[in-house]
Amino acid sequence: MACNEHLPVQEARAGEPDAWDTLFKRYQLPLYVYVFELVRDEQTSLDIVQETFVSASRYIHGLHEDEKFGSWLFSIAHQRCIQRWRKQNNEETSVEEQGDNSIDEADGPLDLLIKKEQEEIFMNLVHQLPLPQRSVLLLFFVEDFSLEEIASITGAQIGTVKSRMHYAKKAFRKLYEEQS
Amino acid sequence: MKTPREVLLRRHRSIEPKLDTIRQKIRNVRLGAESKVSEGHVPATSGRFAELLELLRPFRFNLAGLGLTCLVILAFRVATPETSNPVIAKSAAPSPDVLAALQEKRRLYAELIEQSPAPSAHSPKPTAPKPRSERLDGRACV
Repeated sequence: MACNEHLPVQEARAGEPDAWDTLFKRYQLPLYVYVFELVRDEQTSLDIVQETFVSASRYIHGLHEDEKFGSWLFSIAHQRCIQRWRKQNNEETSVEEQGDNSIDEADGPLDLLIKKEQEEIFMNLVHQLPLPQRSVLLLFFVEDFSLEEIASITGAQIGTVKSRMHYAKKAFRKLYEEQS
Repeated sequence: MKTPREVLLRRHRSIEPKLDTIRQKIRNVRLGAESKVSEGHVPATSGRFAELLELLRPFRFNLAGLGLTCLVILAFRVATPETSNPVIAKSAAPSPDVLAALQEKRRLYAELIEQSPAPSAHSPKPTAPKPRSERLDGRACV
């Protein structure tokens, strides 16, 4: 999660199995959490995680900036989720909401500290969000990705990501205050 | 009190053994083959290499037996001297003793030929007539 952590991406690119092991171990659970909260099915999520790892090991040479390994991995997983959605004709945002570049990122961080008894409420709130907003918020929560990284992962414009994040935080805060 | 990240990860912690299995599987099947390929500095066609290994895996004992048989045949050929091919042997050069013996025989043969009279096949050499006194000794006077 921290940008400063050293990941053995170069060694992995050289084909060292131990390096890959370290990378996969670092990301396997956050990746699974992200995928599961989008597709809401355990086996499908495991399949997507496996496919993501296989793709990553195959196409690592296409990654030119080692520090972006995390966002690159999540972008592969995100694409897999979209493919599954299209196959199953699931809910998908075909109409892109208008990106709003005027939305300031400093519209208030969503500093949440959740009490144990509020964890269920929190999870329900996440599930209630529309998929595009859920995706953005999960990437923010799970790996603390920046707006640029989230835009890169989801393939959306930065303005669109800002907009989604803004509305996601707003909705979340509102619901959270109501319920807690 | 926990952060959203902590809540989310803790909620799904029970899935980790299955994720570990996936990780191990990828390491063994895919990355095991790749590491062998990368040691030989061959560009990454390792995905195919791993797939080829998987394809041949059911026949590994058959292939091993075939390889062993070939090795045995090869070893047998190397160990056995080459006798089956017909080779015309060159006659050895005669030794000096034999040469000397042959020359001696030729000499003796040549001497033998000189001593013995010439066979009738050859016309006699004309000899000079004997003196008259010698010719009259054996004949009656008329």
